[in-house]
Amino acid sequence: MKNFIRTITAAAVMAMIGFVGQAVAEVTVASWGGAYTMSQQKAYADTFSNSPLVGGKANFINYNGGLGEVRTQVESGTIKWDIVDVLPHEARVGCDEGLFEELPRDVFAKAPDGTSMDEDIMVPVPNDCVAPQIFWSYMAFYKKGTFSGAQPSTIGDFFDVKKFPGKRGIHTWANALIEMALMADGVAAGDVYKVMDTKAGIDRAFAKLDTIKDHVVFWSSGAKPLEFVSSGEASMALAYNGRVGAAILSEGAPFVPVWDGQVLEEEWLVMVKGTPNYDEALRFMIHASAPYQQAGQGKYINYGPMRKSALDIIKSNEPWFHTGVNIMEHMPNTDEHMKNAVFANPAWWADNGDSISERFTAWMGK
Amino acid sequence: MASNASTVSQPLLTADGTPLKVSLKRSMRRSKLRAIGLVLPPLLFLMLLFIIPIGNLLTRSVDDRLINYQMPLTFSIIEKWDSQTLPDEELFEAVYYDLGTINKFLITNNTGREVNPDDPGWRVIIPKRGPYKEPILKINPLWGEVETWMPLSRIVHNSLEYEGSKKEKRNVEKRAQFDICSYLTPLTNAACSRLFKVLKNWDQQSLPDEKFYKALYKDLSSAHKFLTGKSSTRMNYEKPGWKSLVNKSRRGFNKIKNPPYKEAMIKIEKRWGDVNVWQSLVAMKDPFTSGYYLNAFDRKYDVDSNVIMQPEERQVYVMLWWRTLLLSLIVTIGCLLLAYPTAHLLATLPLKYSNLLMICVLMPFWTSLLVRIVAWMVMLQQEGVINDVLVSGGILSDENRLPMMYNFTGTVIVMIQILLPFMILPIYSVMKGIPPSYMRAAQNLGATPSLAFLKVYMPQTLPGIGAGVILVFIVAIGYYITPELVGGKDGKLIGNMVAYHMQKSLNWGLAAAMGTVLLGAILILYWVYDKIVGIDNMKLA
Repeated sequence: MKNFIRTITAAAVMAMIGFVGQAVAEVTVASWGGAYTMSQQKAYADTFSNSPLVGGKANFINYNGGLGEVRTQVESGTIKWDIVDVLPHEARVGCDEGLFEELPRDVFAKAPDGTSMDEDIMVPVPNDCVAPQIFWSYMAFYKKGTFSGAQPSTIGDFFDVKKFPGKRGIHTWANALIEMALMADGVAAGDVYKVMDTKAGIDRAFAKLDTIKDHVVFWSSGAKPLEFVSSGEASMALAYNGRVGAAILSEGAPFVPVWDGQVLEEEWLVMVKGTPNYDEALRFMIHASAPYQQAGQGKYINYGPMRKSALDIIKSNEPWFHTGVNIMEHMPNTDEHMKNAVFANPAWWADNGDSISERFTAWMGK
Repeated sequence: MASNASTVSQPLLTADGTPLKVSLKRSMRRSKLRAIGLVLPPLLFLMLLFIIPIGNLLTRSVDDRLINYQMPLTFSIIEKWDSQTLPDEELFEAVYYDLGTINKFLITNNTGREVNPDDPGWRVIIPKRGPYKEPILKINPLWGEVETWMPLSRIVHNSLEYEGSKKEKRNVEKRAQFDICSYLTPLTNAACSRLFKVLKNWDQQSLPDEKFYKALYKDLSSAHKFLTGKSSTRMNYEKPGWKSLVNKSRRGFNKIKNPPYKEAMIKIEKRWGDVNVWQSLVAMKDPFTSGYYLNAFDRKYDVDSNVIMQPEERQVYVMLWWRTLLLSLIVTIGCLLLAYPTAHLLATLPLKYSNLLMICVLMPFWTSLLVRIVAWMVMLQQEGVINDVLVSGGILSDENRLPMMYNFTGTVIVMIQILLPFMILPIYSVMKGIPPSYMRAAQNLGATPSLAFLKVYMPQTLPGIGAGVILVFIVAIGYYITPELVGGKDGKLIGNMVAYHMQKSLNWGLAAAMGTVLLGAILILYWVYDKIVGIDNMKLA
């Protein structure tokens, strides 16, 4: 442990050397709010301003996702946000369109074993604009005691309203639903995107969705599926894994996650192009991407750190969660939970997202 | 006599000796200026926050120039293609140069100059590792003249003269880098940092040397990458798959050294061999297009500029327009039916009761929208209060709980509750002004109460009804957050799609087209109202 801290400190010092001694400005970070931003505040912003070495200030504000606002800011040259927390699709489109700064890669802290950051991240790094944040997932869950006898354990069970009767809570957009429908229909996780590349594959996914169409209650905000399931409005629902985990960990809710067939999504930090606080923002990003900070977020929320080394830190220091319980079993990106799961493929969604979204909206309205 | 005549011809003077006419004019002018001064702030406010954004919206809904900046050479010769068979080498070559080179920036210099496909400059390839000067001059000899570089130099020097703190100075210089790029390209979000650096030390007289051209090449290349990223977002909307096709091709094109391009491009991406891909290019060639409006009604141009339907699975907007219209109408009628008696009660009750009632009407305004929505969810959902009461009262069996939330019914109920005050208030204010003696007079003259109401009272309330109906309808037609929360599968309206295309798909053209249609719908409503009731008759309070 001592050795590890020394390595980190050394890496940090090296990285910071160019920045020390400059005036401290406040860095504005746009993120999603709620428990998620709270965990970022504690793991990144608080440690950022408390550390004598780093000594900066980061201020989190909430936004609703999408790049509309960022594009307006960049194109008009009035930058109000320095850093934005974005989804995989936005991370790619924004970098392609030149809305984000391209970051030097060698300033980011290496893993304790010397692996570079980009190698340490569990998915291929899409471009030079991004710094790692977390993995989150869409997954199914139910309430203990809802079903007598056999309990749902696969994504196929979620789509089986005969075996497990009751309504299903699903979200009002297509992401992850296509993948899940195919996995439930027997497609192996590794083949999902191959199947989705054909029109027949998409038809197959919608056909599977049709089988639960009459049993669906739709949600559009992340708290709803938990309400659905706990009130009995739905017997099972899809939700963000962090919401379900938070309910279990903090409130002791009797929810049971079904990790099988989960769809994991990336979450990246990017810097808005042309920000007047480039240096401070880069310092914050370096700070927030370091393995120990990454692991630190896992103290407050069960979204999985992107860096393998951060996951290792958590694993070897359990119980890690701030209430003194183990957190690994609630993380989406552990080997055990990844047995039958897919990482959402942003390239596929970049090509097909709009047309699928239109088709899904039409499907909902039918 | 002489003195008399002189008094008549002399102008009238004010006390201080200036002619009356002049003095009057002066004071008129002063009061005019004062009036303008008073009107100016709201006028500017209106300009800035209303007229300019709406103008911007209207332009965006037809503006398709971006794609023309990207593919100038291709579009200048695409008409020659028969559009049915795979194009020949010439068109492949044009796409190769348009996606793979920065020549367009160097030739047209962002002036929108007429594209001449025979200009040999299009076909010059600048080697990645230089030399840069010679090929750039071959593309456009103007780059060899000091004059061409002067405007860029001026941008740099203006920024260097800025006085301020170190940080402010740095930011002004940074903005100048963006300004250089937006002078050279149609992009405002590319930074020409290398050009800035070389121009900083230029004496504005000596002929630029190799390092200038290297900077020009490097900066324009990165700007070109962003232009390609942006236009591929646009192209992908026309036909799914363009995004990855452009991305892969851009990388692969570097490897193509010699013609023929057709074969090489198809080898890099077999989709270049698909006629449909080329046909979708044709549909994007007009710099100003009505394509976004067609799109907003599930239609599009085919390769011969005929209007055809979108593929069936993408047809969604017409359905959403109808749903939005229907919902707005139902909500408006519902509000009217509930508001009319309430307003009447408010207007006729003695003051102490009516005040209390008024507070009840206004109460929702003081409560958070979200709180009200959640309250309705608690009441209406299948495991909610109303259903529980009905089930425990034995009216419903447990299996047949009424679905009243997360569907169309729920949306109507919640929206009526939210918009009700907008209907009550104008009707109430009009009713308040109707003397009760009119009804009494009508009944004295022999009318039954219902006849008196229909012939005497109701016509007088029409201005209030009109104002309320228009107000509620206009607000309802643009609603989207509440319906999304309570509407379940029926919760997506046109407003949701506008938001989706603004924030997520970044297809601002389509969002603008839908916004313009909404605006048009409201203007038509106004016009109809004016024809039937007369806009002068509308009373908001």
